[in-house]
Amino acid sequence: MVVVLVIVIVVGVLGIGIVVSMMMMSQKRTQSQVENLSLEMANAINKDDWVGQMNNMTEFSRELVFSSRSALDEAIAHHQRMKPIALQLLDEARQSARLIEDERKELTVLIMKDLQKSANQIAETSASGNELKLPGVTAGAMKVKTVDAGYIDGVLTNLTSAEGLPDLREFDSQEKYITPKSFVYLPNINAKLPAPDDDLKFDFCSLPASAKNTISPARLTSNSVFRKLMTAGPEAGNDFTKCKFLPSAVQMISTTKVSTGGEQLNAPMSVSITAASPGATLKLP
Amino acid sequence: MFRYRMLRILALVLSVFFVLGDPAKAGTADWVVQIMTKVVEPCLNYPNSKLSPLIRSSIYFEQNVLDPSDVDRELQKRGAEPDAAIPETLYEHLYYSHSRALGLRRYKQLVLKPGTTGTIRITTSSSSNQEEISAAVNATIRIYLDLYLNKMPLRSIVVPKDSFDLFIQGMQKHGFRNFTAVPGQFSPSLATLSIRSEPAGRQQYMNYGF
Repeated sequence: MVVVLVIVIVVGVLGIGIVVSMMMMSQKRTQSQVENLSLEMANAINKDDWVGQMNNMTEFSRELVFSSRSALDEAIAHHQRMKPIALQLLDEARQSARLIEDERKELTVLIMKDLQKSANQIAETSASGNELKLPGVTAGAMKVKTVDAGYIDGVLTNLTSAEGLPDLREFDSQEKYITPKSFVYLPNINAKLPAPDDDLKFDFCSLPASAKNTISPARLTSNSVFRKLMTAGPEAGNDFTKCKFLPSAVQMISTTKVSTGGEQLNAPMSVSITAASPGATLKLP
Repeated sequence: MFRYRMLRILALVLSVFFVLGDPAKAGTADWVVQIMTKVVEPCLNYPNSKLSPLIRSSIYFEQNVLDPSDVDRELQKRGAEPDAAIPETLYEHLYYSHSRALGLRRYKQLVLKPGTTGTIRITTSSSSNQEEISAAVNATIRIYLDLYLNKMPLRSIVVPKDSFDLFIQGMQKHGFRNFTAVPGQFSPSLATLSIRSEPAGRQQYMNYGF
């Protein structure tokens, strides 16, 4: 009787051990897969530095409007003859600011669609993935639950304010658009210009700047610092034009079902991985 | 103070004289603003981008790095202190696409001495196209306005000879008009531009606001 009891206990312990190790193996396998896929997607966000270049161009467009407005004000005050040409140059600068805002939105949609496409491909591939089977225990294939696009909390922009426009730098300091000492622009802001140009949008996104000629590579990071902008996939129907800023990080959540003897565990194992995109290159060429 | 003012007025009067004077003498200037234009690729070249190809105009300024002009020598004879030289300094980058100014990054303030005269010199790449010339024209007008508002009379604009006609057409699109200088009837103003080619051979006066 005792022997039978011992055997039952040993078998039970072995069974539990197998299930636990199976879950751990499955989680490790899923985590490794998700890490690689997240890094690939994060890398794709800024592989050609389009995000960094768009951030730069948004700020440069802002400087063009500011300097053109200053020239017009000066012409009106002291050189009326030059007012028409100053007005012409300001109009051009304002139109360009609108064009760049439209292009920034286009690029955001392009990046989000690419992320969605990748998420869909991963979802299709993983649905037909291999199961891991041991006697009595089965770990299902990894399934992509969501792919969110966002940014990393605490990462500033790749932009500094212009040394040659001290009035703008002073305005930016007053508005707290830039850090006090390094003059780096804060992320995820609409850096409005003074009136009457405050109708124009200049949205800056978070993106690591290069440091000492080194570009920050795509990297895995803690989930706790990820801030979501919008879900990219795999579900369809998202209106990506509503994504407020260009993304610079991705978070992928996947699940794996582990079943014992045909009976599914109540909660599927979930793996969540965050990856940051590569940073900006040194500066716009 | 009065003497200094008089010297500055004399310098301005002499500089206006030089605008109509011997073109060879227009080669010397107190300051030179250099506009160098080139296509930047690849940049912002995502599918259906309206910001590509991107053209960059790099603008540099320098002052008193050449031998003193006749005006400077005359002024120095009369006791004026020569100004400190400003070596070639990157002023700003202007970015263009499809003949439209998109952005500006200003690196320094324009610290040329007010009241001094100078030249804008255009350089384009050897394979310059219409868009590049158009960017050079726009950059010239933006700099010209800066100089005008800072009271720095422009003596001449020097343009590569093979881009001369396109440059003049570009200026006309921005409201500048050709102007024929008739000796004795010419009324010089700060809005009068003398555009000449390099190598020499072409020259055109243009006015704005008449």
